[in-house]
Amino acid sequence: MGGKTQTKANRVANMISKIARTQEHELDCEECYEHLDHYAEMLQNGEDPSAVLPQVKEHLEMCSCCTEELGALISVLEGQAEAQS
Amino acid sequence: MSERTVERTNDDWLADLQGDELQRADAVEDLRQRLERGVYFYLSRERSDLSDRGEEALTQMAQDFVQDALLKILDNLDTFRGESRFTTWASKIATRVAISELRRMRYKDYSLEYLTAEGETMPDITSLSIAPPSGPQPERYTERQDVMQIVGMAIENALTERQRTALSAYVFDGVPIEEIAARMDTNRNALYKLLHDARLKLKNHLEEQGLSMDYVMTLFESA
Ligand SMILES: [Zn+2]
Repeated sequence: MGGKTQTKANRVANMISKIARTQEHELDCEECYEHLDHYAEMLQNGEDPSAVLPQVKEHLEMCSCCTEELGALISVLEGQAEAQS
Repeated sequence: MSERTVERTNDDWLADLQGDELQRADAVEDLRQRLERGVYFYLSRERSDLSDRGEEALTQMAQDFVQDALLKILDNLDTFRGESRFTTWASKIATRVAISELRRMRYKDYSLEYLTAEGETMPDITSLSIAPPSGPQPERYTERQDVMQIVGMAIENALTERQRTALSAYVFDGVPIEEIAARMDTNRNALYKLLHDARLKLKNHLEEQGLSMDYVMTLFESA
């Protein structure tokens, strides 16, 4: 019970922090998705995608679904590379 | 070492996947194996929620996800814009298929009615206490509660019923927006926009109350 309340409280805190960082215009999930392969590849290459794709980074900070997918994509790519070497 | 791994350029991939039957079958098979390795790696390494499933079950799962993904990939070749390696783009599609299916499985019993059944409405956030600060600034605790009170009021007064429902499921239950959307007869993208509008309204409301967003950010960033 206590643990659950704690998690909710943290999610509420996280939401309030997101409210404070909300921009008038943000990319939506589809627009983010269009760039996600490019974004993931830059991360893989040790490059900083936030300079080239700042709005994608902003969307990722707001959207836990797209962030989860980026993490999964990086893992999927890693799995391919690992099996090949 | 003596693997048949053909290294294709992006143009090779596109040509082979649209080539004659033999070329095409060969390329599809290479792509399939590659994606299955990747998706299996993800399922077995990153998903602790699947750790009770055996290797065989995960392999099957990876095969099913990749099969669905391949159809999407082949149907959408004309949308590949070459901003990444072709295999990265294809992996993105396979990842989306896998994640969406895993979300569907995980939330299959979730109903938005639970929100009201539990008698929880968003303004109740004021009754939640965010981890008391462990640092030397106990006064921040009270300041946070004050801001939460304002947000709770704003949620009640400034948002539409739909915005409130979506926000509650998202924040209270941590449900992925994709799954909330499915229950509100809309799609993920529209739901993101709905939540974005809600955040914007709440932000404006907080600013009208004279709160600086930098202040709110520092107050909740570390919480
Ligand atoms: Zn998103």
